[in-house]
Amino acid sequence: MRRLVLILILILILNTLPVHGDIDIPIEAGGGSSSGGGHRQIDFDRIFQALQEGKAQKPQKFEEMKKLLYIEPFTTKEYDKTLALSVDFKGNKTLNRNQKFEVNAYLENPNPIEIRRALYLELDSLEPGEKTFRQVNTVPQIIQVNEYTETKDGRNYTYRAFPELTSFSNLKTVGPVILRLNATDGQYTWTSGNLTLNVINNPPMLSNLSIEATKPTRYNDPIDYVANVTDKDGDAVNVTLHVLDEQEKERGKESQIVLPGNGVSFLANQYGFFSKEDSGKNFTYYYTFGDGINVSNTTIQDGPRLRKSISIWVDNPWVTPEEENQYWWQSYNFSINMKNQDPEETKVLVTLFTDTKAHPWKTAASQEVMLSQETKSVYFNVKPFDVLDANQSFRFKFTYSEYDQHQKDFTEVDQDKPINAKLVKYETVSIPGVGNVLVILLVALVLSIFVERRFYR
Amino acid sequence: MNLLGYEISEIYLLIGLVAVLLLSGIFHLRYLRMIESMVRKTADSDFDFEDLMKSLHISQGSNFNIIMIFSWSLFFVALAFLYFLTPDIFPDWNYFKFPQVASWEGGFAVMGIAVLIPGLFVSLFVPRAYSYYLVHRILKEKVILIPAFLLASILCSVNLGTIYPATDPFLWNLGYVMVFAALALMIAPIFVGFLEEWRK
Repeated sequence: MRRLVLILILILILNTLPVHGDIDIPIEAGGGSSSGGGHRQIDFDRIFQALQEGKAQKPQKFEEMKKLLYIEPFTTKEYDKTLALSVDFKGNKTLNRNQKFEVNAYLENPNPIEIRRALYLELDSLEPGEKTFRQVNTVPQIIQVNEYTETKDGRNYTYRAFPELTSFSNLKTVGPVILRLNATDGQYTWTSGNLTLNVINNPPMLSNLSIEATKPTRYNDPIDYVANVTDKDGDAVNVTLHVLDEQEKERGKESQIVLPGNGVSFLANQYGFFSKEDSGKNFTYYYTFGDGINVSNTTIQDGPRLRKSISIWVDNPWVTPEEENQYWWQSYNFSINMKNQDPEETKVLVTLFTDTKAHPWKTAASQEVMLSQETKSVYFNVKPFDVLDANQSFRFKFTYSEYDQHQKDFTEVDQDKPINAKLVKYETVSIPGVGNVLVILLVALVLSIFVERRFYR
Repeated sequence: MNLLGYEISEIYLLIGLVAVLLLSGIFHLRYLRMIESMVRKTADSDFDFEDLMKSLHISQGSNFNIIMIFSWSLFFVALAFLYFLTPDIFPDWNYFKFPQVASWEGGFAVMGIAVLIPGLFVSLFVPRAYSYYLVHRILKEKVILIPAFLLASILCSVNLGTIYPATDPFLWNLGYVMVFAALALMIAPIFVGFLEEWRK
């Protein structure tokens, strides 16, 4: 803009003054012919070319010419430089980092639109621990002359929101935050009063600390360290679990970032906290947790107490139906061979489950057996099926309270032959068979006599 | 069912039974209209159809009535057992759709009584039709065979139920023949009465 003004002025000068100096500015006679008389026209391209050459060849003189031709920004005498500028903030001025808010600039310009100037607006903030204000909006907002609302009493005002600042989630420390506005029209500058917001932080909380595991707990059982995480401000919480051994030395630690309201869960197996050598040992644990500002730790908690682990040996899971037809109402003899691989005797809980479409993994029976190094057959003579299982194939499994030679605590078997499809478990010539028919006959006869006596006489 | 070397669907046989039942109903109504027409020709004065029915009423005796009510009740039980006990004929509508009842020791009795109750309503009205016919003594002596036939049919069906999923076509055919024979005897007084009246 300034360059264009400069060029126009230059053209005017060239039109009125004789040209002298090192730069030769050609002037053509007007009218397209030499016979036109006193009217002259300027070849703009050639002027521009001459200026470019002058800038390149004689920069010092070019700068001098610029200074010579510079015109200071000016306003008219009527221009009123009293601008009302303030930070507009609604809501509680004490807030946490995640609370959303809206900051607006309020401007009241007394000048009428004819003499008004465009304004450039900045929002500055002074954050806790900082010594200087920083500009919140990197690109200043421009308020054009026509962007005001006029009231009946002649005031012209406008509001400007700053979408760059809607929360203090990025603050690393809490405390007072000062906001202010700067505005300029190119000639004058204005600064608003300070608005102080108090940013606070509520520390996170960890509650209901516990260990979820079967008891007594084996080293390779699913051991789940769980706790509830809360934070009034809704900050994400970094939770670290520290597992301590019997000497309270740190055995391992793992961290998770959790949103408040959710539980935190550390599965020991997933992180490999324990190994077989830890069998029979007692462990403790504690948590450290923080939201980026406050960091705390819990007291040391007991657990898990790992029981001594033994290894059993299992083999030959088997089922023998009462007869080969495999009717649903019959007894089935399930068996498995077991022994303890360690020298001492141990008590093991063995449970039998059967699985059919109608009854998925139903507990059929359970018993405690003493195992020594001698192989022992464990039997379950049960009637695990009902009529809904007829014509269905089935599976069964033994589960045991110790791990076997394959580091598994169950053995599962698919039985190829399905349960017999026969539903009725008695024959026609049997007490139930004949009895049913007799009952029908008797009821029909009694009803017939009743009907004949009641309705046929 | 194999009848005289032809495969006949059980459904057609059921339709046949229902057709016989309907036909006997039509014959019964036709019989009554023939009598009404005959009386109207000979009567001196006008009369009411209700009065005619009352005057036609013949008491068949308690024993005959009880046997016929009993037979009609059992007829529906035998029919239900024959068609709805095993999934062979109606795979989606049968007693074995309720396996807990089917496997219970009293399951057949439950089904039989469940059929007897609606059958009782039929027994309230249908055997009453016999009171408008002169039932021959010989026929009256033969009606005692009806419950025997129906009992035989029910036993055949029960046996089919107990051996299911195995089947025995002979037993089913026998059961059907027994039901048909029982039905023939049950409607015989109506047919005989109609034919006698028709010949006049």
